[in-house]
Amino acid sequence: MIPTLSFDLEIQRGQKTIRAAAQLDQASTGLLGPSGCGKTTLLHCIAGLITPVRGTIKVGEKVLFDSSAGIDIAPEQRRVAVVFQDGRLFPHWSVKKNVEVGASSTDAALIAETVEMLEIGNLMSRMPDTLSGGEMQRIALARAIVMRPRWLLLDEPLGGVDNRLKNRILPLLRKIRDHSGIPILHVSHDVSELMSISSQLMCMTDDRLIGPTSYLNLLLDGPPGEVEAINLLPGRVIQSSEGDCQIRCGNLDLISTASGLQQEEPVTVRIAPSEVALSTGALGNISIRNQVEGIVRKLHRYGAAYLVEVEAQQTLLAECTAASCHSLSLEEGRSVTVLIKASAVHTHHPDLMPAPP
Amino acid sequence: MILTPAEVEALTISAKVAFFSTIIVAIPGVLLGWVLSRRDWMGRSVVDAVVMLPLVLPPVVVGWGLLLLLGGRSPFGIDIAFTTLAAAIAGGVVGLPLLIRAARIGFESVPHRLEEAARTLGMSRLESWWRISLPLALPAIGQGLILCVARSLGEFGATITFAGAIPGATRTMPLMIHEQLQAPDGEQVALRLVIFSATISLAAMGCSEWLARKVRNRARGAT
Repeated sequence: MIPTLSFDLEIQRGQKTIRAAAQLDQASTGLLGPSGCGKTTLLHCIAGLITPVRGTIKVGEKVLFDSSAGIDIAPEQRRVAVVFQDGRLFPHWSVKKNVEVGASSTDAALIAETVEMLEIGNLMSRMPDTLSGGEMQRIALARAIVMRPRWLLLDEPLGGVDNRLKNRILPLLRKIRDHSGIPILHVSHDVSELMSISSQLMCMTDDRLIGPTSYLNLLLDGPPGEVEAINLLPGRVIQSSEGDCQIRCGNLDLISTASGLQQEEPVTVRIAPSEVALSTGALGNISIRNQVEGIVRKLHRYGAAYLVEVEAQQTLLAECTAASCHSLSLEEGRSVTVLIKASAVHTHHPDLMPAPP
Repeated sequence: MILTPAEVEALTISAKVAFFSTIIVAIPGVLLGWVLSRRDWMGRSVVDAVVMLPLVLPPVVVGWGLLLLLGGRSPFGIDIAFTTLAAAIAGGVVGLPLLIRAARIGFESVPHRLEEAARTLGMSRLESWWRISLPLALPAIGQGLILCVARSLGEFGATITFAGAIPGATRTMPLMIHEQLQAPDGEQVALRLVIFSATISLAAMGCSEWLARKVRNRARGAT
């Protein structure tokens, strides 16, 4: 049972005031937004490190903050853990002491479990200044989990680590989501990072918070240009040869020029909507190797162009100009052929796989 | 180098005075350093100026002030002038600003974000101060304490005004050196005492430098 985190706040961020209201009841929720937009400020308000201008914050039935009732629970009593971008380990304590600081003394089993889950057993006797960035973040995660928080706030925990380490930490975040029973609010400016943990996303704009909702809704109904448009499909390699490979994403088979993949390897396919073309008539000889029959579900305005939502075994987004939408008379229910060049089918490491909806 | 009983006595008193003066000011010094390290509060610059006064005033003036406050005409009815305790207080008061400065720098070097992290991990304000801020500021505080000892060892003006130069009670090394210089053939003794004092002072500064390096290392670990 996830305690709902609900807030309705006015937050001061520099000169501007942001209105942020949401109710979060999923195992994990992603918060997207450009750097400096106030995401961290929102997290700090929830954790009690910053006092909002006005509003309320509740976890389950417990009121953490209510400006009109004069309630402002101290951060140490909120049981809301934060993993900061910069780790913030205590430099004068060993890793072991850092991990155990928030735990109650009777929680030896939880500590042992967490240490094992995050694979930090061999680091316990080290001092923080001897750790790498990725190791520090794993310790910070462990420290947050063992205090048994009611909510876990992650503030760009992968901000300072390179891609290789991201691929090590993301599965750990999924493990936390699936096994710890602690709901996660995860902040990042990278949409594929968020999607690999959360199916529910929010987006912070100049003056307000949008969501939580699905990626597609956020992309299509959110502020134009704030959310990167992208097709992310989980799949696995069914055949790999020199120069290209075949990837099965659900019922959709795609040919990719990605090399070096192993047979049966799970991957995430990433296709930019601008690289997806649509055709309505008969095709002559054409070099494009991925040709899938589909039906137009909906047309969404996307800046000056349209994002065409096509059901072709999977939901795919194709970016088309208004003129081509018109000349193809694209509309709901229209049968189309989706065309994707093999070189536009990029693959990601499996750890950047989207979360199940 | 063999010291005469009188010289040994002066040394002992110096050590005693330096030790107790540091003990007396340790807690107020650390607390004031911490209070002054906090971001803005009303009247901070006034308090800052007042606690720094003993550093800029001539020690004689400080001694006179102490004499007025804690001497025979004390408004509090406390008369401790011309006692070993008076010498310790005189040494402590002139050393206090050095301790406050060092402690303040120590607390300022503790990143506020670590205290924030401590709070989210369930520590109260006091607990996060005791377990995080104070230990991280400790090397700087230690350095301040050593400066305080050194300053107290060399204290002259405030001591002679407030505590006098009573052999066996308040006649510390600097006072004895001064006395010897006044005597017709005391230069020999004075020189010996000067060498002795200088050695002790250098050792104190060495310790202080070592601690300073520790502070820097620790600050590096904190980033």
